[in-house]
Amino acid sequence: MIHLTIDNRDIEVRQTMTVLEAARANGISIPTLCYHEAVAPYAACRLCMVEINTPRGGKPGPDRPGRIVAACAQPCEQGLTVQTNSPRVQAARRVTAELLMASGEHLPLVQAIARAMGAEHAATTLPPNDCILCGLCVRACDELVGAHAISLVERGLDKKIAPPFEITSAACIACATCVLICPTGAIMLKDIAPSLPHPQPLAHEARGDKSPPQPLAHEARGVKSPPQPLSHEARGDKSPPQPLSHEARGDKSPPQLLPYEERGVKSPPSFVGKGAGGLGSHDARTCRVCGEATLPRVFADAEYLLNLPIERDQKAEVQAL
Amino acid sequence: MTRTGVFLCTCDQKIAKSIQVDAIPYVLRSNREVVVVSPQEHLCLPDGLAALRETIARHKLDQVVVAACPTRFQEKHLRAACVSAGINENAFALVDWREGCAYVHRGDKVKATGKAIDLLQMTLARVTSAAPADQVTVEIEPRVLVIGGGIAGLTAARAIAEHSIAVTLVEQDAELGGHARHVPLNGKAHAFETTRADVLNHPRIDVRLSTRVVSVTGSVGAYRVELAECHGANRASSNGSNGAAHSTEVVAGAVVIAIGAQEYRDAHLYHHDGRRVVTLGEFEIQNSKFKIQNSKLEIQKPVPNQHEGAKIENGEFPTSVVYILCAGSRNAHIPYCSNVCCLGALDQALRVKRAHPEAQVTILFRDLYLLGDELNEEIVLDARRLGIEFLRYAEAQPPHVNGETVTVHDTRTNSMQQLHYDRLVLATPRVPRAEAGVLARLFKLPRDQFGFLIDPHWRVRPEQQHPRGIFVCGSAHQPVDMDTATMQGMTAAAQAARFIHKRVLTHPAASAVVNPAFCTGCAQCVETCAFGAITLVSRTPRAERVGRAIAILDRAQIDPFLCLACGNCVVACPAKAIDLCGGVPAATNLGDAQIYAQLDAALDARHEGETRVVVFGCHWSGFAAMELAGARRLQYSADTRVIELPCSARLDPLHVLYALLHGADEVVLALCPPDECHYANGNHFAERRIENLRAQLSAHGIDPTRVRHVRLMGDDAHAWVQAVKA
Repeated sequence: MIHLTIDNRDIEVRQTMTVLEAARANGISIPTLCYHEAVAPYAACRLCMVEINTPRGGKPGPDRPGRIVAACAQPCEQGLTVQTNSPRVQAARRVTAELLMASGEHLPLVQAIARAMGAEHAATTLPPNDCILCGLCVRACDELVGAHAISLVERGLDKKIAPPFEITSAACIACATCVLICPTGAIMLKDIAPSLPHPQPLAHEARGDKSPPQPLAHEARGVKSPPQPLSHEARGDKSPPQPLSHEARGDKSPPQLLPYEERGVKSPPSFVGKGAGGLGSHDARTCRVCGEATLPRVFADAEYLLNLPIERDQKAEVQAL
Repeated sequence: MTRTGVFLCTCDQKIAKSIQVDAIPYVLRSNREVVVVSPQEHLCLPDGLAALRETIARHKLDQVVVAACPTRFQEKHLRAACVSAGINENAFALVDWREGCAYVHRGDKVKATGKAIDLLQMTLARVTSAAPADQVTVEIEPRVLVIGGGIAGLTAARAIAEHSIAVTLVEQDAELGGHARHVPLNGKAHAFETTRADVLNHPRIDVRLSTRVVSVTGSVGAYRVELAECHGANRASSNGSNGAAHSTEVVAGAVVIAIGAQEYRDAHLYHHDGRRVVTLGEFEIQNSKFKIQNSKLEIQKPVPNQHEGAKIENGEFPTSVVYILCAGSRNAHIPYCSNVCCLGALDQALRVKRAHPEAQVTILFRDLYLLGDELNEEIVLDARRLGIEFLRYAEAQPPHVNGETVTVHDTRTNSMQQLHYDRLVLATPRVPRAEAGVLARLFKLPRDQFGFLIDPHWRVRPEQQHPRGIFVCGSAHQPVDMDTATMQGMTAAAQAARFIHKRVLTHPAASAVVNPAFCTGCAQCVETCAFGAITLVSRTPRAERVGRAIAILDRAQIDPFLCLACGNCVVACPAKAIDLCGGVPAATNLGDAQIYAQLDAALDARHEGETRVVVFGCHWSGFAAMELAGARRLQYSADTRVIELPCSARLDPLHVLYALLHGADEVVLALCPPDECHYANGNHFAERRIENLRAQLSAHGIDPTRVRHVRLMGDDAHAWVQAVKA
């Protein structure tokens, strides 16, 4: 057991506890958003900021301001002094609330936080988004369910919650834990869980079911595993791949295959439609064999390949004569 | 008598806002089994967990009931704390009285408290009415059976053997190699031959050629597989030539299925005859007479052909070869793309053209799928350089073939083309082998709508789903090229090795159990089970059965590793010989006795004039939606009593009748919408049972509207509120 001071109250706690747990256990409330008792602390929302002074840093005073830290991830320490509501803490929380308002001003939860923190205007304006990226759903899926079906993808302003490749994931078991833990109601099962991810059982005919379950859409079958990214070396190929030998064949102008973007095709084969926004679109499926998300099939750009000017192989024609 | 402790988490006074927490200990102490009722401020914090463990030790508890927040949040942690304090894993139960009661009945403290007491009494009744089941342990036999000696099978066998695990490799042909024997391998030949030689010479690999799998007995951890030499093949070496197949038994802990796929052949497809109109594989065999090897321009005079299917006129190589890609695939019948046929056809066409530059080679295609990296696009350019013609046809206008010519509408030039052909080569799709059906039945594997095998994957929690030690790889589950087959072989090998190295499988005792004293062997449960977990076994030993005309009264046996504890068979059993031990709701027994005990507890404390709505909620939809409604603070009537079921198919119509008899005004079943059932089709069963029951009720003069079923998703809280309101 160790002793620390929270808001001028001397408190005795277990050493393994965080400042937030110590405060809660003693009836001192600290606002939180990304914290949940059932999952590991994450310190993402910066709403539980407190001001701490360690005994090594000397007595707090005007000339010796404390550090502003996230209470949910700060371990307790003998002799720690914690202020949960100092002006600096309030200012830090207000900034957090203003930033939350940038894309979440329409959310009742964010409005309540903003009222409590005294934030009046959004720090900036972003497109409205229900998801506040607290990461609770991802942690719940990883730690509580163990399905690892969703994760935070992209970076910066594009960051969002999505299954792999932003398509519905067969790893999802549709247990709705993410829906339950989401503080804003931003996540829905239809964005993650594919309908009917498993095949119908063998004994179906044997049971004489009158209404057989719907088979998967035909397109689903057309989606196969992604092109294998193995390099030639990794495959253990001794010989270099055939098509590289333009020069060896003495071609005068070996045609350069342009990247798709430079070919000027109207609809370049793109991997996943990103138009739907939010939690990814549903035009791609999951591999029903391995259960992993797969990229949609990309057929070769046949027109481009067939229209590319090439030189006929003279040797072959000579031989033909 | 058990010693049960009840822990009440007040969750920082949130519960006390709508429930009179002080009153609850007085009520619960009237239960004989309840030794201690302990309110805690924060059970989830380290202090609370420590107090929980300490109380368990002090009162020598052997069963624990906790009232706290939703099971989805805290059950894992609280159960772990109880197990660390010496409680049986299955002797723990969590009641959700925050989202399930306190948050949703804000207005009426008396009714909310009454519901909280009922919820606790129901859980107590459930926990105390059943002895917690023990875990099942199985040893894993350290041998892997690899079925199929193609690329995937060879790779897997070698990789497993290198993990110091004994391997039995079964191949039905007289030679290893599969499809790769027939095609030039473009620089992969060396790797392939090395693998094949390694497998043949490896001391830990037992190669059985000309052998098939005949039957499978045993269960997870030790499959007893009977192998028999095939008829027809390898007859010269077998001494008993009279069809008496020599059969042996192999005991394997894990099975790798790599049986591959076969080429689709259909006589109606472009007049396929195997002579002038051939498939890719048939043409490859014809070509082998011409010694066409990879990229080598050696033209040899064709040898006179004795092969039945490969009649070459005048001994000359055909002067015009027409390929039709997507022949017979990507249509209504076989909608999938087989991955390998475009590249295979292009590769073959290139070899033909290089060997016979005088031959006219034309490729009719719909789309080109060039599996692999972008370098494969070069193969199209190579083909054009050599003078191979490409014509694109549309799905709506497939090529028309008559005896001499192919007529096709080329969409690139928008013109009709008529091509003479000496050889018409069809790039047909890969379809599952007939053996896939046999193995699916023997190993109880699901198949997709086209007949390919599928690794079993059910939408249940990871801890509910047990590894079975059966791994499918290669073209057995979808057509793949050599590189992918190799990779999948390696993956399957790694999975199999990891499985074998576990040595022991422990199964938490969550499964349906047959009472052999009641079982009549009617096989209703066998047909009901979507997972193939139930088999009929004979009561009499094999030796005693000899000479007996009728084997009387087989009995059902449930494999606990295949059972997902949905409870469908419990309801289907007409003799009520099956009971459910464990399962999703709190992993405690949910047999019929436990459900009736819960109904008693839910309905007994009813005051005169009060209504009771008994809701049976599927764990994945109804119960999830109830918890979500609590999280969203939606308000509904406190007269509801919710009983959690693993699947809606667990609901026996008798439960409904029991509830109606004991004072329930209404019974609601909240189940998954169609195609969303986590146990394949439990909701179909449940709906039909409820509909039948309603018909019976109205025939007997009982208002059928008192029994309802509601389809809802687990993320639809408003549907839940509507369901219990209406």
